[in-house]
Amino acid sequence: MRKKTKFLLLRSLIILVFAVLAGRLWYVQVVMGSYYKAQADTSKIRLEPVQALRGIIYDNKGRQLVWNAPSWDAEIVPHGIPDGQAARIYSLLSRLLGNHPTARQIAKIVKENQWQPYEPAVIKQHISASKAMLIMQMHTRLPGVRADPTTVRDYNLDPAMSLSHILGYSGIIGAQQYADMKRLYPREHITSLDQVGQTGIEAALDPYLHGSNGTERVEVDAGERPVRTLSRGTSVTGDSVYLTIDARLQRQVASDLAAALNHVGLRRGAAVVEDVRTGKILAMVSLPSFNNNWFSTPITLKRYDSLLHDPGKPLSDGAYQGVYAPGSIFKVITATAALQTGVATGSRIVEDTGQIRLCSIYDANACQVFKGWTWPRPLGPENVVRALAQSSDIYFYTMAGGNPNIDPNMPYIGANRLHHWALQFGLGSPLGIELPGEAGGFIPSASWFDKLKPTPGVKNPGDEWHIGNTYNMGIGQGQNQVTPLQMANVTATIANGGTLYRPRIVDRITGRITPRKGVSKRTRTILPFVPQIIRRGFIDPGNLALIQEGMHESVTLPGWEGTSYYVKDPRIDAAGKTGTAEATGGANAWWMGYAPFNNPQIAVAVVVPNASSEGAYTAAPIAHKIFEDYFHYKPTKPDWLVDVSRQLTSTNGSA
Amino acid sequence: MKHWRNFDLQLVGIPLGLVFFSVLVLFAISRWPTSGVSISTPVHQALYAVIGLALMFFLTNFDYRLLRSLSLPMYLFAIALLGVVLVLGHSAYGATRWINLGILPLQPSEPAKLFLVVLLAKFFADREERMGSLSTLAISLVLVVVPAAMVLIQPDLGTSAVFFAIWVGMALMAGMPTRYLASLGVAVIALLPIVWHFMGTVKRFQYTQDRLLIFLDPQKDPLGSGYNVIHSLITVGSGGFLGHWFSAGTQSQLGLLRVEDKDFIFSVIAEQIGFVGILLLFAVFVTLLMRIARVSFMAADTYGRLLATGILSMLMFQIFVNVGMNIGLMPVTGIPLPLLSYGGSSLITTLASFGILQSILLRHQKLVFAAG
Repeated sequence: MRKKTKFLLLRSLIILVFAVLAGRLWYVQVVMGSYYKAQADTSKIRLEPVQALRGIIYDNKGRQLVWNAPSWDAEIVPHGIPDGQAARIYSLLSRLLGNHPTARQIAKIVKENQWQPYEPAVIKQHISASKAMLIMQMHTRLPGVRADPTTVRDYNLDPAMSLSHILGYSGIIGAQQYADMKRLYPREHITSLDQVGQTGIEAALDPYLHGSNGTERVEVDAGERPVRTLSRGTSVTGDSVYLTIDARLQRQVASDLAAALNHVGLRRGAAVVEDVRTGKILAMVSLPSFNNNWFSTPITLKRYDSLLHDPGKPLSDGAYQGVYAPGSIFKVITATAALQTGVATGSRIVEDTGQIRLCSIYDANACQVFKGWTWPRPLGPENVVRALAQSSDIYFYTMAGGNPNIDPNMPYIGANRLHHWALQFGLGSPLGIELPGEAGGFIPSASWFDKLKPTPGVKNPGDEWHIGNTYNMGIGQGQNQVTPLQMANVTATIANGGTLYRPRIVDRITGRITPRKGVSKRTRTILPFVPQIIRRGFIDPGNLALIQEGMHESVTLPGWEGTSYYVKDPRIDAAGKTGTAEATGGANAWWMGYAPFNNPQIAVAVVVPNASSEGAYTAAPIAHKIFEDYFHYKPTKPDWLVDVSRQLTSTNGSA
Repeated sequence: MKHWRNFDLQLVGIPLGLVFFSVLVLFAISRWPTSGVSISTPVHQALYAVIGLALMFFLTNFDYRLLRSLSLPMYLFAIALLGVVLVLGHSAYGATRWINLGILPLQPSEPAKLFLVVLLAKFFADREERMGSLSTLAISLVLVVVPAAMVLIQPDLGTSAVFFAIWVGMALMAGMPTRYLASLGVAVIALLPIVWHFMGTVKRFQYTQDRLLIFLDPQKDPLGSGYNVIHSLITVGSGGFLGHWFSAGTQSQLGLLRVEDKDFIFSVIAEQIGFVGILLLFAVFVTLLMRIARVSFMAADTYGRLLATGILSMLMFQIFVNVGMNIGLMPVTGIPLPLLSYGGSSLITTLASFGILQSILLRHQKLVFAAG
C-alpha cells in the first residue's frame, strides 16, 4: 500500500468512528430523547442520606453524659410541589405547624433551596411526634412535604453538674461548616441536615463524634415521599469519647462551689481538679452555667440574648477561657525563679519590715512606699519556705526587684527572668487542652512594656518599666493574667516533682471511624490516652523541695500563721498557696494546692473573681471541701443509685 | 535540528481547551449536593494538568529519536510497576488498579500504554525490512501480551484491549501483511467460547464477565451491575437536542450515576450540552485526531511515524470505547475519556504524548535550505 493511501484510509477511519458515535447519539438524544426525558422525570429513585447517630460522650468511669433522643423534622422537597399548588400547601403546612413559620417564610425557605430541587429543605426542626404523624397522614394534601425522623442531642444531666461548658452543644450545620466539612471529610457523606458540634467537646471532637452517613436508594411517589427502600446503605455511628472528668466529683465540686458562692452572695467562680501524675482533668467547673439542651433545639432569640448579656457570663467557661490576675499564688513562680537564678537559697533570710520605701536619688523626700499585706505589722525574718507559708510581700518584692532599704547592690531576679520562668510553667499561652477557645492569659515583660512607651507626637499614658512594675509582677499583681486551668497545672507540676504535663480532658476515643482513614469492622480504641509532657527537669529537685515545703507550711503552721489555715486537716495533709489579687470590681480570691503532701495525687485551683475578700477566707474553704470530696467520699446511697435517681429527676425535669 | 515554525499550535490549544472544560465540569459536579465528588477533584485535576503540561513542554524540546534507546528500559519499568500493583495495589470499584502515592494515586496501566507505543515503534522501525517475517509478528505480540495480561488480571479488560488496539494500528502502519492480522482475528474469535468458559471458573474474572453480560441485558440486574448502564442512557438521553446547560434539576444532579467524574463524565457532559454540543465536541476531537494523523504523515522517519500512529490508535480507541459505553454501544470496561475524565495518570500520560507528537513535528525536515 502506498503511504498516501494509508493516510487516506486513516482519515476515513477517524471520520467513520465519530460518525458511528454521532449516529448512536442522534438516536439516544434526539429520536429517543423525549422517552429518556420522561424516564428521568418519572424515575422515582432517589439517593437519600441515612444519617449517622452522633457518638456518645462518657465520663472516665463510663457514665453516659449525653443521649441521642428521637425527634421529627418537617421538610419540603422543592421538586415535589406540584405547579400552582405551592401557595395552598405552604399555608396549610404553616397552619399545621401553628403559624410558625408563616406561609411566607416557608415560601422563602423553599425558594432558597430551589437550586437543589431533590434535597429536602428543613422547614421546622423538632416538631412533636403527633404533628409529624398528622403531616404523614395528610400526605395526599401535602405533596412535597415530609416529616422525617431524626435525632436530637439530649444533654440529660443534672444542671448542678455544670458540664455544659465542657460538653458544649451541637446544632444544625452552617453553610460554611457544610462546605468545609464536605471538603475535609469526603467519606462521611456530610449532608446539609447534619448536626455538627458548635462549642466544647462537641465541636472540638466533631470529626470523631460525627459518624459517617450512609446513602440508601429509595423509590418516591409523585410528592417525593419515600414509599419503598430499594437498597439500604448503612451509616456508622460516631465514635465514643471518654472524658477524664469524673462526673461524680464534678457534681460535688460544682455543688460545693455553688454553695460557697451562694453563701457570700456571688455568682461567678471556677474550680479545676487535675491528676498530678498524668495531667488528666478530673473536674472543671465554671459558674454560672447554662443548660445546653436550650441549644440542641434551636434556641429562642430572647433566651440567647439574655444569656449573652448576663453579667455572670454563663456562656464562657471561667476555668479555661477566663483570665484573672493571680495575686499571691504567683509567688510560687517568683520563688522558683529566685531559687533557680541563685537570688534566693533555702537559708537566705530577708527581714520583712512591713514595707519598702523607694526614694528618689535626687530628693530623699520623694518616696514611694510598697506595703506588705500585713502592714503595719512586720512578719520579721523570712526564708523562702516561711515567706511562701506566710505570703510575705516584702520578701518577694526583694527577690523580684531588689531592696535598696537593705542593700542597693543586692542581686534580684528582674522582670525579664521572671517573665521567662512564668513561661516555663506554661503561663502566657494556651496549654493545649482539647477544648476550643482556651485562653492563654498574659505575662508582662520589660520589652512588652517598652513598646507602650510614649512615642513622639503621640500622647499616651504609657511609661517606662520601673522597679515598681517588677515588684507588682513578683507578687502576681499588675498586668499578670492567668486561667485557673493554668494554675492547677502549675500546682500539679510542683506536686509531681517538676513535670509540666499538657492538661487533658479526653481520656480515650473508641469506635469504628477514624477521620480520613475509614471504617474498621469492629469497635476499637482509636485514640488511647498517652500523657503528654510539655517540659520536665527544668526545676532543681532541691529547689522544688523548698517550694513544696513552703506550700506545706502554708497549711500546717500552727494557728493562723500560715495563710492556708482553712485547709488544715490531718486526714488530707494538703499543701497550697492563697492568693488575693486586686482587680477592678473587687479582689479575686484564689487558692491552689495539692494533696496528700507525701504522695501527691490531685492538684486543685479555685478562683472566686471579684470576691472583694481574701483567698484565705473565700477560696481556701472550697478547696478543702473538694479534697474531702475526693479523698473521703461517702455515698449516702450506692453510687449507681445516685446516678439513676439523678437521671430520673432530670429526665422528668426536661420533658 | 529543531524548527519552531513547524510548531502546531492546535496540538497544544485543543488539549488545553478540553482540560479546561473538564475542570469546569468537575467543578459543577462538585457543587451538586448529591454527588460524591468534592471540591478537591477539580483542584487536583487542574494540578495534574499543570504537571502534564510541564512534561509536555519538556518532551517537546526532547528529541524523540532519543526515546528509541530508552524504550526498552521504559517498557521494563512499566512492567515492574504493573507487577507492583498486582502485589500491593489499591482497590476501587471491584478492581485493583492503583498504587497509592499519597496525593497522586498512580495507575501504572496509563503510562504503560505510552511506554508500549514507544517500544513497539522502535521494534517495528528496526524491522522495517522484515515486516513479512513471522518472527516480527510473534515477538511484537509477546511484547503486547505481557503487559496486557498483567492488566487483565487486575482485572481491567478495557485497558488490555487498548494495548491490542495500539498494536493493530501500529502493525498496519508498519506494513505487516494484512493476511496475518486477518488470520489472527479469526483465531481470536474461534477461541472466544473457551476464554468465556475459563472466565466463568475463575472468581477474579467474574466481575469482567458480569459487565459483559450486563451490556447485553442491563435490565437483568437494574440495581446492581446494570445500574450504571441504565442510568447513563437516561442521563445522556434526557439531555435531548439542546441540553440543559447546568440548570437546576437535571438527571445527573440526582447523584444516581456512579463515577460521574471519571468513566461516566461523558454522560454528564452529554446531558448538559445536548446533541448539538456533543457534535461540537466531536468536531473538536476529529480535528485533534486529524492533526495527529498529520504528524504521522509528516514524520521524518519511520520511527516518528509509528510513534504518532501508536498515539493516534491509543487515543482514538479510548475515545470510542468510553463514549460507546456511555451511550450503550460498548460494554462498561473502565476506560477513561482522554483529557476529560478525572484522573492524574491518564491526564498526565495523554498530555505527555502530545509533547512527543510536537517533538516529531518540530524535527520533520531533514534538511532546510536557506530561504531566498
